[in-house]
Amino acid sequence: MNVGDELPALTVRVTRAQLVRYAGASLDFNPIHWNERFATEVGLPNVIAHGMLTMALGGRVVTDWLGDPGRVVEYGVRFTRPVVVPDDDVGALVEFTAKIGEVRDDGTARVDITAKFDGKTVLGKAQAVVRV
Amino acid sequence: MPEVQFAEFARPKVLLGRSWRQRWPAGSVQYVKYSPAGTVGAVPLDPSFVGRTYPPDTTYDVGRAKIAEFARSIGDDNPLYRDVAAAEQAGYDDVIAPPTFLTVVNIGAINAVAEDPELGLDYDRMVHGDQRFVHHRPVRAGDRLQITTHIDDIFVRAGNDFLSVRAEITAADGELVCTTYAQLVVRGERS
Repeated sequence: MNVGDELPALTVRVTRAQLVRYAGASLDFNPIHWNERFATEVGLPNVIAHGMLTMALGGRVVTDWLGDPGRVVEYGVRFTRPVVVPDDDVGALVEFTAKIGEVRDDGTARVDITAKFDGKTVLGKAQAVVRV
Repeated sequence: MPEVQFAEFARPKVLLGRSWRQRWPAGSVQYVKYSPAGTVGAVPLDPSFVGRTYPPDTTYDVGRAKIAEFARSIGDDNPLYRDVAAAEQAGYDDVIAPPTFLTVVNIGAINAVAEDPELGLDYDRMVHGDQRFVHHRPVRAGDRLQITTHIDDIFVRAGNDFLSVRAEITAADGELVCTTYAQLVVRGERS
């Protein structure tokens, strides 16, 4: 493993159905994530995905690569831009890529993750530390 | 300065209806850059709250079905989340949870701070700036988790209050399972 190595990319179409499912699973029922009328009333372009869902999907790039998710010892992100999810069957296309940012002496490595929606990054400083 | 995303956390007690509208009235700005033009400082949070600790008030029992439900919600078919035999083969006592699963209990840490009447945080203007999980061991089904929340830092930058909140999530025997770090941002009032 070397710095700069890329992990297999992941592309996800986030749909309204997934937002509903994630709201229930995560216990985050903020209506901006499922109620278009409410979301637009408060000034959003439309319903938006939970930032924690986008974070979780970014984590999948790492755990899919590792196989054993228990080897993720640290994972953090900044929430920067929203993922706007239309009311259709296509959803919002979010593209995740990741590469090795650092290989450490203690048997861990830092993975740097990029999440893009509509051509822009939606997570900042998304990094995982994994046991390799 | 980075941008921050609009509130990622619902306060579970007040999910719908009037209270939400009061919090985020029609047309209110949802995505704010730090230091927006026209920002003036709100009453800053009292820095003497740095070091305040909120002890556990409940126990969260991690169940296999909840882990599987969460994994499905993020489209993750990893067998270690749902197949006990596969988890045991990988060296675990039971199925383990995805790296962000503890969001289901971390919300309690954020609410402990957000709802502290003495701190007086204005929930209307709070946004979730960042989130980090440090796993001391994987969370697994059967864990009985308790959460202790700490305010690590309070500072003002460009008219916005920043709170650094840390939560220690421990198992029944006191073993530290995960430490979470969240930065909450309370936007300054607009002139």
